[in-house]
Amino acid sequence: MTWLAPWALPAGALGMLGVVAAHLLTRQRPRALALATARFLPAGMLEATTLQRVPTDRWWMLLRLLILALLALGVAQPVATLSRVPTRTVLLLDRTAPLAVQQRSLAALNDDDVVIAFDSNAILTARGAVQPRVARHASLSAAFARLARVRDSLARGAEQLRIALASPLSAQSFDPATQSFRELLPDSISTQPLDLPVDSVPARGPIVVHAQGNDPIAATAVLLGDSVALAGTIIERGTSLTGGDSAAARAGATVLWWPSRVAADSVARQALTFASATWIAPMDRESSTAQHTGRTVGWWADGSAAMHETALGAGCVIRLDAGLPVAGDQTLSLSAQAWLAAVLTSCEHKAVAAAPAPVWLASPTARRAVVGFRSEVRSALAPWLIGAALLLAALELLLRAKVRR
Amino acid sequence: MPAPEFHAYGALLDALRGVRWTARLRPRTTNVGAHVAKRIGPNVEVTEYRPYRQGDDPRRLDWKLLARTDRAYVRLAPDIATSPTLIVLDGSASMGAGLGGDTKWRQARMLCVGLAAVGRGAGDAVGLVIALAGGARRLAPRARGDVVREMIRVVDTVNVDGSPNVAPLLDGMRGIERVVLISDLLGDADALLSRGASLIARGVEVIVVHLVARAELTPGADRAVAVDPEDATLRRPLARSTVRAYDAAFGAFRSSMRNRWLATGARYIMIVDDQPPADAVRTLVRAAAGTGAVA
Repeated sequence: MTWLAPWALPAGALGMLGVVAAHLLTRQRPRALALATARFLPAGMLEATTLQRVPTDRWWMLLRLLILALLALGVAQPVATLSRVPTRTVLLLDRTAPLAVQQRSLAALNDDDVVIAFDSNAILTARGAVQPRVARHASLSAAFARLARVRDSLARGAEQLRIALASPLSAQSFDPATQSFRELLPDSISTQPLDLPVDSVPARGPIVVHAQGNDPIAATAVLLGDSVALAGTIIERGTSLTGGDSAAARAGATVLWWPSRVAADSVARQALTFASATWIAPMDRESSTAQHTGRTVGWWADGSAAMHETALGAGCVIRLDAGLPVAGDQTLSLSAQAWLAAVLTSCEHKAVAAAPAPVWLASPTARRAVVGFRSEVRSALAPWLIGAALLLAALELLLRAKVRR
Repeated sequence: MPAPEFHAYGALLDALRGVRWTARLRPRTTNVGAHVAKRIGPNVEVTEYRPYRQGDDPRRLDWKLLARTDRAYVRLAPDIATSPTLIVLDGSASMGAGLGGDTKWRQARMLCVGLAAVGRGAGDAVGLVIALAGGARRLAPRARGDVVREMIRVVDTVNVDGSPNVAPLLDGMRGIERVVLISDLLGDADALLSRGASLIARGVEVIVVHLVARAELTPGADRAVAVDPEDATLRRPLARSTVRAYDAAFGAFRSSMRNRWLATGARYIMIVDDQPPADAVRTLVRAAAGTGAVA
């Protein structure tokens, strides 16, 4: 047995205590006596309230207590909920969190809880079915969208739905649509504190360039120095990736696979955009129609795809096909350095430290839950209890009127 | 209308046999009675002689002295006269209702009959007027032998109720030498004082019998709502906490009434309802002959 409005029970108990107290307090009207000299008495209260040790009018008191008890039980709306889960937790698990952190978050769940593990996609799964994996990117929008779709079905099986978020909340997790997706959820979201390991901050080091001695990009990498990219970051200018490249990527490094190709000196200038960095330089765009796999991360000025990223282990491989003229200092410009720095750091694990959650993320939205256990379940007993209470109240009124006569 | 209970007064009348009620003021009446009158008359008890003057009644000449000494002297002696008495009885509801029942009204009836009997014993004409809500009940002053019986019949057959004004009954009295007012003075006390003062100024002897119930003096501390029998809207709490204030206020009222009546020259006697009626009548008669107040 559970109660849809449990607050009615203590309220009813308080009311019953009040009834007993009222029956202990009796308002006495003393007998009237004829006294010719009554005018010499001072004016004052003609009725006196006294506290009795034993309640007066005990049958009336019992009747009123019964009415109040029935009313309180009716308002509390008792329901039988033996098959329901008292509280179900939905854990939004950010895949960019370190594996140990993910495991700790999962360990705190019960068997009835569910997990929405999200990186760029969000997957609803049982607690025990979560595959251990660390991703580079995670999208809260994807997680919220997934949860919005399954929330009502999850709420039907539980008395209370609790949503927890285990995420470093890196800036890359948010996008312009995140807040809109969040507003689809009427629940509050508790953010789990993540105990991120200090040693997860990767070390910086020199950029390894696998290229010929006169490669223009090698000069740009030298200009970036040793403190920009992670140690092990590779610029592969060869025509194929090597085993070392793959190993470095799996270890978490960024591998820019940019096969060296010489362009004519008169080649047109192109604008190559990666994230927020744009490099404008004479470049020979790829002419082949080969299909590239992976996520598009760089674009030419006309919107066509220029760079593709493929996740590999904890790191990634970014593929770029563009020829550069040998002559010229376009690779030494500041914009070239900024662009290359953005590319070489794009695969870095961003979850090096948990950021504070924005206010709108945790607080519930004003939107009412479309489907929820308490809104959809009605107590079959409540109308009968309230009806009985009202019937007894009417009966008391009639009896009192009869007694007065 | 209740039947008169003559036997209830038997003991009182027996106890008052022989009691004389001397008039404090010399009556101005010419009827021969038991009181020394103001007028000098041909009384048998000579108090002085004086030489005869022209105009004196020749019948008052002491003829024996004239025959022995050839000097014409007249015999002078104070006349004796009756003192017609009117008993004014307050018949308001406050006289008949109270904590102790109608003891105040019973005492008032006893006093009335007792005084009438004493007055009748001195040969005085005794009358009665009762202020009632439905109009005054009057019994003209008479000196007949059955006046006491008639008075018993009257006082036993009236019902006290309402709050009639007593003061107007004191107007227009002629031939009355003595007025006995029996009241609890809870009604038109100020008007009574005014009319009483007028009577005293006219030479009428006024005796005020302030009748108080024992229950009014000591109302007790049992919690109750005291209701004025003459005004049902006047309801006051009677409790231990209010009795002290009540005692002070009621005592001040009694003291005020006593002082104000004495200031007019009236006789003021306070009688309590549980006092034996014969004793109360004797106290009244004794006090009426003296001066000041008796409480």
